[in-house]
Amino acid sequence: MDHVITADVVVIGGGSAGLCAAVAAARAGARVILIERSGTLGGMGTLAKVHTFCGLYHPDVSRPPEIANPGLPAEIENLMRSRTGVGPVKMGKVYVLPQDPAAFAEIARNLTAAEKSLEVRFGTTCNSITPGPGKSFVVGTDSGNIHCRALVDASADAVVADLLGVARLSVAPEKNQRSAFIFSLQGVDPAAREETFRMRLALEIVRAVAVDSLPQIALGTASRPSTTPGEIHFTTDLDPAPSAELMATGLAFAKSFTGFLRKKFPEYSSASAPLPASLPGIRETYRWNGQYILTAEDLVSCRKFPDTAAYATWPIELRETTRGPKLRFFDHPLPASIPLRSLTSAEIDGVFFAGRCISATHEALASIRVMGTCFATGQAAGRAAAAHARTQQHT
Amino acid sequence: MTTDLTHRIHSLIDEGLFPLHQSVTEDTDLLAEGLDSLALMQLIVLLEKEFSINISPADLDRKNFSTLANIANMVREKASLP
Repeated sequence: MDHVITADVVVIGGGSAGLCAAVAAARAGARVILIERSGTLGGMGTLAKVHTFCGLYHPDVSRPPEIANPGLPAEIENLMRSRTGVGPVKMGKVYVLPQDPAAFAEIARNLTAAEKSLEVRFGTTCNSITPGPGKSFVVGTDSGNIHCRALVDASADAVVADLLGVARLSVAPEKNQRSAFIFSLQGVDPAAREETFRMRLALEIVRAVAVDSLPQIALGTASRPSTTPGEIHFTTDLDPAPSAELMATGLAFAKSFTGFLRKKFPEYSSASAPLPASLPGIRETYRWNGQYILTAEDLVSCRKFPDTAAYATWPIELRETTRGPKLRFFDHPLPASIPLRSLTSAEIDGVFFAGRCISATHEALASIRVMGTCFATGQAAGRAAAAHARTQQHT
Repeated sequence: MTTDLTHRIHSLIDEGLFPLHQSVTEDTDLLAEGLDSLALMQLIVLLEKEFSINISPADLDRKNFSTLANIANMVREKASLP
């Protein structure tokens, strides 16, 4: 079982950040192995059914939508638009791209398959990381060891830091941003997509909660039409809790809420059984303590860093109360800079991070955690890891 | 009186739901400012409690909820405020 394979770069986690890190590193010439514990790439955008790409567009909504980060974020946006036929929409003071989780999984598969020097290992969990000869790493997985020169932690939970025994950033579990559980219903009458219907639905939910025929969490449930005709997505925000508890609560709610809709509204009378996400939508766990800890002030003031690696465009979106999100917009309608130092380990040479576990404060995370920004930090970390591996080859 | 009522509704939304930008007037389109289906549920709860009114399905319409002025008009009629 203990066969040793050499790769330039190992990427841990195949969500939106890891996907881009792996593809970007491979395109930069590195031999890459991407480790994903499930059988699907895309993470929150596929397994948790988060059906909107946020953070893709320049924050100035007085102008037509414009991609903030070139490269893979732009490529994925373009591929998704041609799959769904749906372009960016203005939601309040931000542009978002509605996305289809099944299409995203396929786009991710195609992007990775197109890279000859990239191998994706599905169903694989990383159990250990130890220093190897020189400045290399030995990544222990349940299907053998991998010997590599650089690592990208796109695990969302800074798993690599934990395995290396490096202290992570976090807040008390009850202070974590609230989680979400998403499910969809198919076979819904097109009338249910109309604004007036959805407004009336809001009132019916308020009434049903008042008489206890729906649980309180129904008041934190947003409905959004899917890019697939006849399908509506429902997103319920939940208090931070272990995944098993979030799933149990979410699955039970999906069942009772579907029953309520079918009974109360002819538009939903022939709706499918709920199609639930495979994972809860987790917004916050652990982060790296890197060379620089990005703050909300850096983002809000659109501070310029000399080592800008990616741009954040999403407002600080705090999900702390049952009343829904609280948004803090940047002071200027401009993209905010994320420095490469926030994607780079302070202690261990050759370790980079991307996505939700980059080196950022609790408040900064509330902006940089969105998928559009994860694509961008993933791409930057992948390129940096490939460049690092290249320098190691020559020493 | 209109401005007082509009002001109260402005505070309800600004403090309880989502921050309203300085540029928001009584005629600004709130649906474009972030009054989505989620915020609308919270707003119904807040309005019914604050003004002791009962919002009916027929009231749930873009024209009643699109601006602070329109919400104020609906509340005024329902609460028999001057």
